[in-house]
Amino acid sequence: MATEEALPPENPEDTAVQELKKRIADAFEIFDHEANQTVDVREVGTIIRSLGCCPTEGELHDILKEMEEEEPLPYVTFDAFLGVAMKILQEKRYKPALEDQLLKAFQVLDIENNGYLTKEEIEKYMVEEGEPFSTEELEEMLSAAIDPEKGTVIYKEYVPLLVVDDAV
Amino acid sequence: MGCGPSSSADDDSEQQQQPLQKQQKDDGKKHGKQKRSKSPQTGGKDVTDASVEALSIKSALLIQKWYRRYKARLEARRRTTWMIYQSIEYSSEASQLHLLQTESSPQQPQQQHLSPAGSGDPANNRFAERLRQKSLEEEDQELLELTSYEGIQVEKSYRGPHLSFPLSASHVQVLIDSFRQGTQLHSRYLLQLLHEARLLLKTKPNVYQASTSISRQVTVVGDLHGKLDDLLVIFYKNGLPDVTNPYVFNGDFVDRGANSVETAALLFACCLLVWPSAVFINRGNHEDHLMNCRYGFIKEVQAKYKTPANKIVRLFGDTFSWLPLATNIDDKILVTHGGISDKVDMERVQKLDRHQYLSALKPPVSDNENAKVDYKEWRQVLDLLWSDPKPQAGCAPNTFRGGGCYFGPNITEAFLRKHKFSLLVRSHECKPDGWEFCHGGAVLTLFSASNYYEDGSNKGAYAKFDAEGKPHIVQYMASKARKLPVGRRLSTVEEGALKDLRAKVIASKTELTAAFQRFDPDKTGSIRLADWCEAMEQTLRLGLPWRTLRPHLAQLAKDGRLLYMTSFDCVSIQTKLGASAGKEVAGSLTEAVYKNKEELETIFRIMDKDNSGQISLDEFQESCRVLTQATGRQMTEAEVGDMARSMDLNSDGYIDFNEFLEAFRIIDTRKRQEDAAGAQGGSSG
Repeated sequence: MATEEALPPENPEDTAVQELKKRIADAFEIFDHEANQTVDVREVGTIIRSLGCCPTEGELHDILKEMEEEEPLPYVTFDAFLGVAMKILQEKRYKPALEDQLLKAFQVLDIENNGYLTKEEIEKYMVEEGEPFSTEELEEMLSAAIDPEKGTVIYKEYVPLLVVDDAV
Repeated sequence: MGCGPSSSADDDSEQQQQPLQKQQKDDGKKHGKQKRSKSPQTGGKDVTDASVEALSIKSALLIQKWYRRYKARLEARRRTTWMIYQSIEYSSEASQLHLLQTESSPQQPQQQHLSPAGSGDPANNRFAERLRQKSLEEEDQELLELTSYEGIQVEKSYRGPHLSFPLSASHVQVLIDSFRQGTQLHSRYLLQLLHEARLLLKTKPNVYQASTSISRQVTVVGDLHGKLDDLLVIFYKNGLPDVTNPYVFNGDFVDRGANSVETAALLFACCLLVWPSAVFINRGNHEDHLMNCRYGFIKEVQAKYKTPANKIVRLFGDTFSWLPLATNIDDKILVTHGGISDKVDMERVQKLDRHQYLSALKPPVSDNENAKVDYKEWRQVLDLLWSDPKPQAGCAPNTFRGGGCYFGPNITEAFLRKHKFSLLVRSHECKPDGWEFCHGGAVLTLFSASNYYEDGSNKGAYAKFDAEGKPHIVQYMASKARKLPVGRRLSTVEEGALKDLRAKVIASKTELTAAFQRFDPDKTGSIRLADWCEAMEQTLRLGLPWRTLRPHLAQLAKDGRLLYMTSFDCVSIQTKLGASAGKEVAGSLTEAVYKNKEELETIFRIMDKDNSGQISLDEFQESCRVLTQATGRQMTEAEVGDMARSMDLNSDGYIDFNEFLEAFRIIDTRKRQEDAAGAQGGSSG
């Protein structure tokens, strides 16, 4: 862990900026396996999301483009990451939708208004529409979302699970 | 200290999950922001249909990105949890080594003895005396007498497995069945078994030669750490050893887990004795008497065997020192527990006298004035058993653990080239998937104790090599936890890690409070978040992401500043001491003992010459004094005396130190607080 520099008496804005920087640094460090201020480019999305942003895959692609200096490399340096991440967080870009919006999204897919979605319906939507899930993602989602007794996804119960994790 | 994301393109493990998710992201990038959906039902012809389709795409997208964020948060939590477990584990190992090396410093090659009597505290001298090892001949004779099983009768009431020597495959099955049911092997048989194993091991060279010429394959198993259930899973999946199915066990099969005795018995007994040409057991850093003092093996033996425990402990200790240090498979693959260093030289390793190193942690010393300690030789053993690979080039002392080296890819490359190996297989480090390649595929780590930190924390793995040296890796998890969805499993593991971390925090309450107060000269009770992070790291030195962990550890005031005393709210140290003596044990003393519990335990066990679990009041006080010297933590004579007397429940002048250590526990105070505080909210943001 880097030691903190002594800060001059606080200007609240400065402090907020410093705090944000440190927050980003912490999140980055968790994925900096070689402890050399770089992360694998494939983990950038995970780090951005762990900081609270909710970009689509396409938006992630754009974020990465902003971070890459000239040619795309297999890793991203902390400096490149920091600049872009600061902007994203200060501008509050890619804010996650609220719980009821998520609920509504499920309701839209529930064409027959059953109050639940079947395994096949989830599979169809998640794998064929939007930015498709991989097999792994689908299986993991189903394992948590499917009600073991009914064999369906009762989304009203599932949505709070997705949201609760946000306590931090 | 890991080597990067664990997916690797160069192995052909069946069980490896392809990084589909990552590939998927690549596809997303190539095809732009959103994929058009195929929508079989709606023809999409008129406007209403098109807008319904658009809406359903939008909804799917929302759910997907929400889910991916959820997954990302889980991944970040999982890694943080992992960091907590590892840093606590390794810092404990480091302080262990520091304790043992306080009196003798390996950096001074001139020093031949531990501090001679008369120099300094007699308590230290007695401690040093206990660590000293006698000469070979004396020891062998003494050992055989001391650990004889002849006088031990097997009672008629004994319902456990009976062994007769020479052992056969049917004995192995009997042992497996008995252990599975939780039956214990009689001390007589255990001792007999160990004697036989020891005799066999004495005939082995320092480096086993294993060949796949008959079997066409060989299986390598990593750390087991007393997890009998994992060993049984492996035997179930991969079959018992025999000439057509040879095994290499790469050390660390005792300590930490609950069935170290049974695991060792199964490995030595059945494997080694029944199929001596098909089973290769390497020594790990935990096959070491001094490690066993701290990490649970001796405790387990004492709890299970009581009176004969001393014999068993001594015999295990000696047998471990006869374990070879590495296995050479087909002159192509080297299997050793920790790793290598820039100093490790296989020719040297072949020639050294491995038996001298009863514990790899202390240089061997003899009473002979003229005998010199060969530090270069000792280094070979230490490096093989304790080193870790690292991504950066070069070779550096392994300060995280306190022993062995960190070796980089260039060191590996040079070593493999010099000795004409194509792969180094090692263990020693827990990996989430049970295995991990690094150094461009030149090093394979195998860890076979699943759920090592906590139920659900990690898988175990073993590797089957074919005659060409290609590995096939098999993963498993020996528990019910694997049936839970990822999120729930993570919560359990995470809670375990946080609990351990909070225990560390409370154990350093005095120091931390002082550190916090330095940032709060006006005694407002709150400090900046940045200051809290700095104080935590400087005091605890765990290298953890404190900012990320803050919500689990301390609360913020409404103005965003941190109420630092809330860091101590979740848990407290409870002591059952003093109840009988009617005296309160002072808070800071409780803290001192709890914080140094592991060190104290180590010292007690070393002092406990006859492995009875009891030490005299004097020895107890001496132990505390040794601890004070080693850690700098002050405990006054009066305090220690009071504590000692209050623990002498029988007033017979002896303390059962297991009971003593159990008396200091961490309890969760949150429930009490929640009840008391009523509607008081949790930490904000």
